[in-house]
Amino acid sequence: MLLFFLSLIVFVMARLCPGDPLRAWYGASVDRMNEAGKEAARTSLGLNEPIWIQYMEWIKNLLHGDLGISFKYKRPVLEVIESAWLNTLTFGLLSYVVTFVLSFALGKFCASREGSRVDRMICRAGVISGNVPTFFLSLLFILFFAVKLKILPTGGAYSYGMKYNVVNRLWHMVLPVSVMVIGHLWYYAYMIRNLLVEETRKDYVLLLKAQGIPRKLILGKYCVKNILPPMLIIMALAVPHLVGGTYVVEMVFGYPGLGSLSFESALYKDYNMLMALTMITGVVIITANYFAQVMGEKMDHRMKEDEFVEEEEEDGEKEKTISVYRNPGYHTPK
Amino acid sequence: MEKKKKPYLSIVILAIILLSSMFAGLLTPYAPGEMDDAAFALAPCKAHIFGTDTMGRDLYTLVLYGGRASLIIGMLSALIATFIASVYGTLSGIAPKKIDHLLMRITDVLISVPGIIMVIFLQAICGKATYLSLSLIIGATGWMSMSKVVRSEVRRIRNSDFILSAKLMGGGFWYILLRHLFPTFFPSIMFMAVSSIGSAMITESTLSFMGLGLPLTEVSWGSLLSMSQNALLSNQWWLIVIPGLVLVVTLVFLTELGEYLRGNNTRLHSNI
Amino acid sequence: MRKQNLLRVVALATAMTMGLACLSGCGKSATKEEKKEESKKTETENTLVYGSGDYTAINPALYEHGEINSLIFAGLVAHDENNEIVPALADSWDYDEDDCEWTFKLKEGLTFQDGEPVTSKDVKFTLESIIDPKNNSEIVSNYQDIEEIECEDDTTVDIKLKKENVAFLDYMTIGILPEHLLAEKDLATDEFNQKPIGAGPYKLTDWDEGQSITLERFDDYYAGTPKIEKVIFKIVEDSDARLLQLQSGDIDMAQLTPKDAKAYKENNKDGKVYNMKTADYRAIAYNFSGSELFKKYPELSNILSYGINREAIVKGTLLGEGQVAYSPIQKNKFNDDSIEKFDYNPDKMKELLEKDGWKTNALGWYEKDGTELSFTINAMADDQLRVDMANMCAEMLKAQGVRVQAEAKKELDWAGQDACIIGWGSPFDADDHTYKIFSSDAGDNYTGYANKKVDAALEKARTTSDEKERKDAYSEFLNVMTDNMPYTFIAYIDADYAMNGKVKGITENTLLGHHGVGIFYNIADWEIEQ
Repeated sequence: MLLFFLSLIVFVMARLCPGDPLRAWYGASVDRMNEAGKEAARTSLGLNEPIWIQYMEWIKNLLHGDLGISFKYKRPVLEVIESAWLNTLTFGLLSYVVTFVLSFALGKFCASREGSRVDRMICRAGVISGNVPTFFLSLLFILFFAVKLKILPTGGAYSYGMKYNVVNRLWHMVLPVSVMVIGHLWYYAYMIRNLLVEETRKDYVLLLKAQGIPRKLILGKYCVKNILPPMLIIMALAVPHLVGGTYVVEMVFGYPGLGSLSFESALYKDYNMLMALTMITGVVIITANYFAQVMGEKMDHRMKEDEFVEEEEEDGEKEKTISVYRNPGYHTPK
Repeated sequence: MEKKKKPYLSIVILAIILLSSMFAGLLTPYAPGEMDDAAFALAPCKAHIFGTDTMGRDLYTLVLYGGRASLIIGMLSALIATFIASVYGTLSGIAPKKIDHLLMRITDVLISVPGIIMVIFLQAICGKATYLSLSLIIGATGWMSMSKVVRSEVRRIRNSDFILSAKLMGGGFWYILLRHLFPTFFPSIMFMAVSSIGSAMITESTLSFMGLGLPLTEVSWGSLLSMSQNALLSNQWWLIVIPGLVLVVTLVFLTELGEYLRGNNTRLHSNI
Repeated sequence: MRKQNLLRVVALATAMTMGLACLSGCGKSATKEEKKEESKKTETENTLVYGSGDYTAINPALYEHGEINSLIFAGLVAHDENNEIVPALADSWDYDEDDCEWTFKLKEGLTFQDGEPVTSKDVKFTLESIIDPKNNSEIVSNYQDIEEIECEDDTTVDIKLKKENVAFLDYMTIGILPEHLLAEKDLATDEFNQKPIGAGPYKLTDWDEGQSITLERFDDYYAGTPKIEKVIFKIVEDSDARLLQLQSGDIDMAQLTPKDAKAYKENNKDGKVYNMKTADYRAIAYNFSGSELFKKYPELSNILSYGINREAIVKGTLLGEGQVAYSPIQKNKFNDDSIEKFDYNPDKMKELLEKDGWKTNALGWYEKDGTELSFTINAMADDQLRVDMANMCAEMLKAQGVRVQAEAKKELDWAGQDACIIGWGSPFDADDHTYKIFSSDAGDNYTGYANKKVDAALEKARTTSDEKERKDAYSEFLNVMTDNMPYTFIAYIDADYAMNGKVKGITENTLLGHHGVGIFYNIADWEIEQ
């Protein structure tokens, strides 16, 4: 349902934008075409129908598994996307996993030393790292690691002729993933830190302490266990952020993935390509949101069971629980 | 944890940056577009304390004037985002349950579209990039989280006596929003508003980098930073380091300020 | 219970994550050695890796830009080092002046890269495809004079023209398409454009979209087997990125901007940069049909031409690697250097503006009848030189009270723009890149420039073969053009080709064409030094 809604918005918006999709198809030779020629070309591409008929047509084809032809590449969209989506998936997944493993470690580390000098220093460094624009960080990294030290490739997804070499591909991912991780790390580490810090103020901690359980264990086992549900929500909600991030990073590194493709298709009015990419992105994001929603519901349920939360006054509380994690400390990384 | 210290340093630094951009005309020895054809890509020296760019323009002048563009766009889009968030959040907050639910679902959908794609779209609709169009676009893509907070605040207080009495006395939507609701929920979104200035500035620079920003002749920190791609290779470090440093410093202090405004909700002592 | 399940999932996820992280960690150390090995392999393989622009479709009959055409395809004739015509697929040719009829005799035993023979039918097919209006070919205006094509036998083709066209032989360098693969197909969308087959020195063997195009030498090439086994067009669009990859050894050769070329020279002692002259100029093109301002005040093109300090632009954007431009055929023997050159003279521009009725308004900008003298110069965003030029021109005019903005655009749309930085210029016959650009309503006349006298002069120059008459005709063209400038010419830009020390066989003195195209004309003779 949401997907349908999204597709409709994007479909209409893309077509309302100024700019001529014929340009994607014919390139600069559009300028040489006369009006009649342009009309004929539009008709043959089905662009002269009213928008809603075009949309119905698109939906119909979609149900048959046909996403249409890319205007720019003049080949079926699925064929063009085929190699790109795997690239993005590996890149995105790797960034995601590394970001969260490190965020968790860092968040826990800071929470265990809350208020200490180390904690404050890391906090400060984290704020700075989150404030460097991604593209700028990428440029600095390329300059340093690829140009000056020449130890890492400057961009792309693989060296020539090594399309199927996994190691080579990973090698090309080192820099983009590092940029992604640095750009997003602190944002999530800080949230995890705060969750843990909050947790340490709860009464059960005192109780455990009285039982003689060591500090480390309390934090590492009991507190962590308790923040897992909200952490999962954060992780689910992080998916859209990281997807947005991969798009920018892919462009800077010339990494042939969905991000580069969507940017291109939006600029060149490659309608079918754009729609396909929006759908893919949409599915991922909506799934993530759905997951967060379910988690939130479960959590509320559990909280009520455990009587941790006083009676809430009104409706829509599930929403609220989630939205708390949507609005973390500072601005969303870009 | 003790009460947070007032961020004097942040305020002072931000004020300096703001003022020097505002009065750029008085502080710079050169006109903003002035090209010195004897001084292409000069390293910092006496005549040009930040050096010059590859077109022979004085970098110090560019940084000050560029700050104008970046700060205006940053603040304007934060203002726009806050405005949309306030209105939308209030509407949702005072609406009946079903509509409220629907409105919040819509924000969920919007929040999940990667911002950069939205920005490209909207930019294409607006056509030419101007200060206003950029601010509108960045503002229009950044209000969603804020509106959620506004909504829950409004829901919390909507049945308070003072709102009810205002309603009974025939106060209109805007009147109640401005006089009663806004002052109440503003503190809770203030830190978001401040930090959205920073994120708007980052978005602006990213747009510039991708060639979707202000026209070339309008310098902003973003466009200065995107020149750095060229400078990287020709060892013109000052073209990268100086604008980068200025932008990052501004952003960091903005964040500090935002953090302070966020208030102290973790005042209890750790039990560990 | 539920809680425990949840925990288990999380634990599993974390474990997997760790595993992945480990894997990638191990991978990193392994790659280094492998990479070294790989690069060694390519060195011995006699391969040239060229940092190229991107292609989406390759077809010489439709798309003119791009080097790759000259590797895959061969024409009836070709250009040599000095851009003179030499035989290629055709052995000999004749011209019958009375009938305006050319007769080409093809070499015997020619084949396409798929083994099929090259015949006169293929020639006929290629030329007819170009003229066919439904194909919207970029180069159609060069071939409009063709009246009829006849195949006498398999190796003889007669081309009858409507009228004399001296540059015609030049245009017969066009790559010949194989009819047997394309007959009855839609040229614009056919798969052929992704799997092109020609009779040129290299055949396309693999195309990894957006990444690389692999070409292998064609053993039956008419001029003998090329020396380099493999040429890879690695797609690296950005000049900065090319520089990076040249330095890291990922590519062997690439065209760079002057700034990047300078950086390459400074950092790589054994590398080489060929600074080659071109007939490629840059200019501000005013949109006389699409822009309100220039439609109403076409005289501005002349006036504003005085406001551009070309020396400064050559120095600032090209680092001196270029020449100040004043004429579209400046590098041609038919050029006339006595014409008005619109040298930088801001005072004269002011004077002319005021004479034309423009007055400074309260904001300091020129204004006439309520219209502010304000417009935007666009430049293709992926061409840093043009962007820099647009920016400098805008600043120069702004300093004189003309409100000019510069914008970098991903795509230029003539319907909506005032002016843009344009590039043209051909190293071949003077007719190329003049007739099709400046004649009213010609195929590449995007700006709506219309000047009857220019039309007449260009027509005359095209239809006479007498050298002196042609010289006079071009002189006439240039002189009437300066009364009504279509462009503000800025500069001819040199092409910098940077390569590592191994590539041999490039003729440094060849005058190159638009975008520095043409360097590959003798690719079959190049060598990689071991």
